[in-house]
Amino acid sequence: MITCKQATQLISEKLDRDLGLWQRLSLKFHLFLCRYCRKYARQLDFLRSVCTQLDQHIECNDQHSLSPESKQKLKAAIKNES
Amino acid sequence: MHRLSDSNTWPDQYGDILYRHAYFRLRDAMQAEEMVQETFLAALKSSDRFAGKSSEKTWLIGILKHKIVDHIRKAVRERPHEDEHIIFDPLEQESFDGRGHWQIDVKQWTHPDASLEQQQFWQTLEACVARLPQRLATLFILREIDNLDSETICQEMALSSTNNLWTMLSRMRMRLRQCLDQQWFGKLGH
Repeated sequence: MITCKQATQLISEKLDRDLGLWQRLSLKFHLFLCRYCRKYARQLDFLRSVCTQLDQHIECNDQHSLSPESKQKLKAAIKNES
Repeated sequence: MHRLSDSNTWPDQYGDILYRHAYFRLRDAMQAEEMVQETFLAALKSSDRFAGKSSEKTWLIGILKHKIVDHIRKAVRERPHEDEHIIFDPLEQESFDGRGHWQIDVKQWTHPDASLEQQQFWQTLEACVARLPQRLATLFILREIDNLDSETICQEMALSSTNNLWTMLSRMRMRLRQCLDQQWFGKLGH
């Protein structure tokens, strides 16, 4: 039987590619028996689904903003070019 | 012919939005500002190619993202890197015992979906990404945000084999999971 360490690697890989038949079966069997890895798998699935939404939220993070001076600089650069 | 808004209004309209994307990807205020400027200038030059298929904002973000991928590609070429995450990973050492069993407690996350409503959750996630080592953070952006395929990522990041990519992705996710566990779900209090 595969170890938890190997299982976590397969849980991650499953998000990026199709596993081979043997890998799929070993993982399935491991998850059936191991509740820690089951939780881990659920959490990685959750991570994947939130990451697809992260980009929209980045835009709203007002902890990071341009200073008024930087905006002036940008305006000057645009004026220069147009 | 689709017309863009007056370019003098761009810094006020889109400056912060573009800057936040750039800062998230580059983690350097100066570089992020430069990218915003380059984006505006590139947009001016190619304004006749704006087809109006997407909004002006989406169009500008698209230009910015292309510029950043170019920037990453150049940085990878110029600065040789060692992927020490492949050889030794302290978090993995800490998480598993010698026989490969968990030696930390993987706790259940209670109502994870409820967190999505909170702006603070997103800031925590952003901070967790910022804590990743540079190479893993870049990997995160190319894979999870830009959704690039593995072949392209290996090329952009000059990885010698896809096996290295799978290993690094797994370690990146393990770190993010742990960071969210400690900085968010562990603090919710239940």
